[in-house]
Amino acid sequence: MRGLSKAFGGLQAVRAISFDLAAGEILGIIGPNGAGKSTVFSLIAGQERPDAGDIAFEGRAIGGLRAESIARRGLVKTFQTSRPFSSMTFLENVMVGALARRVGLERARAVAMEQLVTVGLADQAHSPAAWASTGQRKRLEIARALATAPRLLLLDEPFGGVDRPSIDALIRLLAGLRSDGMTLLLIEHNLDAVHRLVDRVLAMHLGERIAEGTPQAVTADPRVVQAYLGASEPAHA
Amino acid sequence: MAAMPARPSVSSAVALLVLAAAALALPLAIGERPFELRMATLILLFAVMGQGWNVLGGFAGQVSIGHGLYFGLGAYTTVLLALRLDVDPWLGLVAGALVPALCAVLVGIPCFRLRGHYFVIATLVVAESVFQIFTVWEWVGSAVGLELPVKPEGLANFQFHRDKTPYYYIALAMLVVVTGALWWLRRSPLGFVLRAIRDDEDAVRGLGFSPQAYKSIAMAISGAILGVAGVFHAQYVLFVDPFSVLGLHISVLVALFAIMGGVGTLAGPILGAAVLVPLSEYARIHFSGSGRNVDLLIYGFLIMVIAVYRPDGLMGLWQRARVAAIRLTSGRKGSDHAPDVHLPARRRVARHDPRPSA
Repeated sequence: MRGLSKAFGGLQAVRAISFDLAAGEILGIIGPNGAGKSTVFSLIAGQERPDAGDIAFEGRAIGGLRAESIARRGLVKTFQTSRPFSSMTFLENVMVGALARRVGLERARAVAMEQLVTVGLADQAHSPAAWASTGQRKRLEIARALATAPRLLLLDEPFGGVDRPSIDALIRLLAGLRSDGMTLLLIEHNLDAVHRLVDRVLAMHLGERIAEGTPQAVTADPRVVQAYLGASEPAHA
Repeated sequence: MAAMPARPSVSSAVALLVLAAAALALPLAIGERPFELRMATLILLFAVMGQGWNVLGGFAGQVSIGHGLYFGLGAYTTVLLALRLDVDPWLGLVAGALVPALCAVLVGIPCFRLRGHYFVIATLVVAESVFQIFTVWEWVGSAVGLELPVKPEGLANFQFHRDKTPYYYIALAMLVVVTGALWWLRRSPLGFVLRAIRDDEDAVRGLGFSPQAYKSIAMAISGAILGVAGVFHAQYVLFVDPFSVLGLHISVLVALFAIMGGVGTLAGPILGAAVLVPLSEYARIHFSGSGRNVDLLIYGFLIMVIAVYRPDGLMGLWQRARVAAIRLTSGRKGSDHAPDVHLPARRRVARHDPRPSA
């Protein structure tokens, strides 16, 4: 991503943001509310068009493409507030993701079941998704995204509203995906989870990049402490 | 699978067979009573139309109150082809499906940029605009309308003058074919994606699907079914004018029958038509000269009742009765754990909501 900028009316949501993401890496984006993190995600995922800058994935420019075109290229995003298809079961939710691969229903069912096993929801396969708890919704959405066979997964606050045991399970799941070669980009407020999971952190404030490096280095950076943590000492949420 | 449209059980298959036998035998039971035969034919016709509306409004969740447009276009297509080019009515039937399907796709291009109420209003505006154009367009007969040339009766000419029973059987065949096709559609990948679009269009897009393309397919299928119904209507009454085939009341009735019967279900539009068409017809006879206002009053009352007590329509009421019956027969009255009787997930959630912990 090079020089990415986006303004909404008079508000400069993202200002000349640049960063690289290596295959198999987990990069976390942190920052206080209004920092522009979600806008960066929306620009990458094609939900918003950048005013300036370039986005390339695997050597091909994707900036300004439609969201569905970007997803078909292997970049799939999960939502901050998980959005399962509420009239469907867990299995059917994930089947929709598998159908994006243009496979038949039987193959989609098999793929979906595999992904439910991966995220630990196989026992809920035939339960209505509308019954899912917050933690289950997060895992279900990840399973649905995985069923599309993505190469880069964009996770918008995957630990938001999730209790401690579920966070541990999610961290194990995401670390396992990285071990399998998946590249992950996530936005997260839970700095403890960020420390435990990501390889590198990019901190944003008021639409600008203010620090980048290891989780320890970034959360100790005075600009991050000032802007994001609002305290003189780095704190772990 | 729980929320997947249920595979027919043995009892369902038996019920369908009984229903089919009853439908086949109905004209024999009706005998020489044209009013009842006309009503039965209208039930089948509106059921077909409701099924067509349901593809877009129910399966894909895109509520349209402009579907009378495609009914009217189907009717006009066959009449114009017969009048201007002396085209065979069965070829007219094919054209009467294709023309509305194509128009539906064209209408969808701008309208699908809108969502929710704005989409609803756009469908209404398009249909009303076409209605106004047809009332002044001389080539299509303007407000006076067009008459189909009367031909010798028979299946080849799709005209029956002395005995209208063949129309009933043609309408029945249409309903069976359309319902069967939609039963298959719901179980296809297309049906899956349409259901997902109904639940969350943005999430579907984020998985790599183009909701616009899928909705356009649904719109085309929907328009084609309405168009076929329009062709049938034209061949049945041998006349078209904007008021009888393009009027707003057609659009409203089609949506109403599907909604009251049960949106997104296969049986819903049939049930809606079976209840509301007789209600309308008898209201006209018994309550006033034209009865038009009385049947609208009844519809309005029923909408309020359904909206307050059974938002999932008459099919929801039926499902509730089935669950209650199963609870009673299994001796688990009052239990929250009665067997799931092929209820789609949303209905089962409405029934009981034991949310598991994270």
